[in-house]
Amino acid sequence: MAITFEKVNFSYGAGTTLAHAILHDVTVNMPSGQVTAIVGQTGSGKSTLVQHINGLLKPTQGRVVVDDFELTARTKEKQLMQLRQKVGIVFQFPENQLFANSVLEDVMYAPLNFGADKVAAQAAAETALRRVGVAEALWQKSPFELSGGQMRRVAMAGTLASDPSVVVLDEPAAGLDPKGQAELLQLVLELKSLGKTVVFISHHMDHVVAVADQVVVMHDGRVVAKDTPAVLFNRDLDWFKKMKLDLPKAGQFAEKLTAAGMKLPERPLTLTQLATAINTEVGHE
Amino acid sequence: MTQAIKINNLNYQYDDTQTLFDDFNLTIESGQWVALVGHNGSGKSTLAKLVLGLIAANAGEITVFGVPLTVETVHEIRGQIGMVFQNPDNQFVGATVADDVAFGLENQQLPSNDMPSRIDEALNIVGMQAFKDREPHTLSGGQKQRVALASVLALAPKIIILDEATAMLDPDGRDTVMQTLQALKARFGKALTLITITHDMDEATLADRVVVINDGQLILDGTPAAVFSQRDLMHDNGLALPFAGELAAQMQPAPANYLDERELIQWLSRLKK
Amino acid sequence: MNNIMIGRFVPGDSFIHRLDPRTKMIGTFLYILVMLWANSWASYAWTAIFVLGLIRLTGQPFKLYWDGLKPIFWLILFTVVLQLAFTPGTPVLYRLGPVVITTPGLINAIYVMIRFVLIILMSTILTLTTPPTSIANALEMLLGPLKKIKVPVAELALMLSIALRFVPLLMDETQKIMNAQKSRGMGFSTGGPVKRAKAIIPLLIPLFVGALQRALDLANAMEVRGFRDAVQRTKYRVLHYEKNDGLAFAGLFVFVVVFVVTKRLF
Repeated sequence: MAITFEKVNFSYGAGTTLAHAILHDVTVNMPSGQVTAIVGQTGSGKSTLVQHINGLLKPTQGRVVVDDFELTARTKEKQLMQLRQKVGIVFQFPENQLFANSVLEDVMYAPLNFGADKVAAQAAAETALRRVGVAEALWQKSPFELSGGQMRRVAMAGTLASDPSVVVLDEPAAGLDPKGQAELLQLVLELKSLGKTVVFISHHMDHVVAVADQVVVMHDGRVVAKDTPAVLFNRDLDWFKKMKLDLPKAGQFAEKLTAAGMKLPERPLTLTQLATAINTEVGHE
Repeated sequence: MTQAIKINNLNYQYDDTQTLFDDFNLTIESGQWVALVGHNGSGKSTLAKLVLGLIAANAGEITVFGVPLTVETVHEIRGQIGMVFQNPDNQFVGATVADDVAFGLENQQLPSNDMPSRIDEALNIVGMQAFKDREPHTLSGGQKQRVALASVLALAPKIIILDEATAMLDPDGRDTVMQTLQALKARFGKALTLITITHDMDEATLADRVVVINDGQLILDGTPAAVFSQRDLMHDNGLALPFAGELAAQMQPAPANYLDERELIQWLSRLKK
Repeated sequence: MNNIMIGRFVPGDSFIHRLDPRTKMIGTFLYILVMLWANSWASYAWTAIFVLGLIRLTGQPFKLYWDGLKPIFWLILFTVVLQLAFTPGTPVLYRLGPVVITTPGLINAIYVMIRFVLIILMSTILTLTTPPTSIANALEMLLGPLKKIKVPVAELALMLSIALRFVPLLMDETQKIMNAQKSRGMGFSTGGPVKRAKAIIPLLIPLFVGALQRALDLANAMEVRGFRDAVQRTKYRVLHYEKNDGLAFAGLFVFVVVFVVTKRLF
C-alpha cells in the first residue's frame, strides 16, 4: 500500500500565539511493499511526519494519500478509523501502552476495536504473538509481570494483530541490547516479506542499511534527500556533518582508514563489504 | 591499592524462587574505570542497586572503601557513591537545572551561601552552565543526563556509577555523555572510580577493565583487549565485540592479538605498505 | 495540549517578575478578597484598571492573558446564563416561559462575568511571572507558622514542587498513550456510562503504571543523592524582600484605599 505526501505543511496550534511550524512543504512517497527508513536528527520532524500516516495529525495544508484514503485538514475524525485499520504504528518505547489483565487480552484490543469478533480477534492475537516470538506460556500472564524485552514484543504484537498493510516503527530498537536489536531487524524484514509497506524511523544507520530499500532524510521539517542506502551513504562527508547524521559504522571506519592512508574504492556500508574491500586492497599489494 | 568496592559471596533472589546472584565475588580497585557489561536482564543493574543499598541482598558482604554495607552505614556509603540512572526524566528532581544540582547539596545541609559556587563548578565540568535556569522539559536527553552527572559531581563522590545512562539517548546525546565521562576521568584521574553499566561495547572499550556478567555469573574479567579477544564467549552471552573487533575477525590474515580501533587502523595501514 | 496557559511560567525581567513570590501571593490573595467586595460600576472599574495596569507592568503581550481566558470561556458563559435566567426582581426585560430576564439579573450577570475574568487575569499574572518552585517555596514560608501545630509544611512544599515539575512530563505521556491507543483503534466512546468508563481504561492504566514507575525511579534517585526527610535540609533558593517589594506593598495599600473611597462615594 503506497503512501504519498503532497506539499504537506503542519503547524502545532495553528492560529494561536504559540503557532509552531513543524513540517514545511513535504512531498515524498513511500512505495508499496518496501521498507522506507526515515532519518534525521532529533527534532527534525520525523515523528510528526509519521503521525500523518494514520491521521493522528492532519496536515495544516496539503494532503497525504494512503492507498485510496485521502487525508487533508478537512478529514472528519470518524473517517479515520478506516485509515487506522490499514496503518499500524509502533511508537518509541511501546511497552508504555500495555494495559490489559493478560497478554492475550492486550493484543486483542486492536482487532476488537476494528470490528473483529472475539474468536477472530483471539486468532489474530495468537498469530501476532507467535510472529514476534512471545512464548505461549506467557499469554495468560499479566503484561506487567514480563521482562522489558518481552513487554516490547507484546506491544509490537498489539499493533500487528489488526494485520495492518502499513507498519510504522518509531525507533523500535531504542534501549534493546544487541541480540534484541538483531531480532527486531529480522522482524522488519519478515514484515516486508509478508508484503507489508514498512516505515522505519531510526538513529542507527547500521539498522537503516540492514533493512531499508530507501532512505528519507529530514532536516528542520523538510525532506532534504531520498535515495537508496547505497546512493545516499556515498554522498560527500560534509553533507552528513551538516545534516548531523552519522555514517554506518563501516563507513566511519573507512573514513578513518582513508585518513591513515588507505583509500577504499567506494564507501562500504556493512561490515562484510568493508572486510571484503580491505582484504582485496591488502591482497592486491 | 585501595579497594573501592568489594563484593563477597553475594546471594540475591528476585523472589523466593528465582536466584540471580549465587556466591558472587567482585572487587573494584579505587581509581579504576570499570565497564560492567551484559545483555538486558543479566543482573548488572541489580548489582548496582545492591551496592547502594536500594535493595537488600539475601546473604554476603559488600564493603565500600572498607566500610561494610549495613542499615547503619547505608547513608554514609551513599555519600561516597554517585549514581546516574537510565531514564533522564525520572531522576530530575529540581524544577530547573540549578535546582536539580542543588537538591543533593540541600540534603547535605550545605549553607545556602556556599551553594551557587558548588553548582556553577559542577555544571562547568559537564558543560551545562549556560543552561542553569532551564526547565527539564526544554532539554534534550543527553543534556538531562549531563545535568544528572553534575548533580552527582556536586556532592564530590569517590565513586560514580552510570547505570545504562546512555541507553535511551540518540547518538548525539550518547557522544556528548561519553565525552563528558572521558573529560571527567582526565580531570580527576585516580581520585575517581568510575563504573559504567552498559551493553554498548564501543562504550566499554573506553574503560580500563571490562567485567562481563550473565545470569548473575561473572563470565569474563580483564582489560578490554583481554575480554574482547574472547569473541565466541562474548557471542554466546548475547554480546558483540566492538566494531573493530568484529572487523578484525574477518581480516585475512587476522591480526594475532586483539586490537582496538586505533591499533587496527595502524596495523592495516602498515599491511598495505 | 499546547494552548493551556493556566499555570504556565514565562520567563522575563519585569518589575513583577522580580518581586518576591511571597509578595505576589499575598498581593493576589488580598486583591481577590477586596475585589469580591465590589458592588458598584465604579468599584469594578477601579479593580479592572488596577489589573490592566499590572498586566502592563509584566511586560507580556495581552494576547497571552487572553489565551489564558479562552479555556474557561464556557464556564464563564454558563455561570452568566444562570445568573441571567434565574435572578428574580423587577423590571422584567424579557420573558420566555419560565425564563425571566430582569434588570437586576442582567447587572448581576455582568458583575459575575467581570469577577471571573479579573480573578483569572490576576492569578495568571502570578503564575505567568513566577516559576512553580518559587510558588511552592513561598507557600512553604508563608505557611511556616503551621509547623507549630504539626502540619508537615516542608513535606507538602517538596511534594508540590515535584508534582509541578512532573506536570509537563505527564501531559506529554498522556498524549503519547492516547496516540498509541488511537492507533490501535480506540474509538470515541458511544454508549452508556459503563461503556464509556470502560473505554478510558486503556488510557488510565498505562498512565498510572507509568507514573508509578517514575515515582519509584525518582525515589531511588532522591535517596542516592542523600535525601532522608524533607525537614533536615537547607535551601538553595532563599527568599528576600527587596526595595521593590516595599513599593509593591505600598501600591497595594493605595489600591485598597482608593477602592474603599470609590465604594463609599459612588
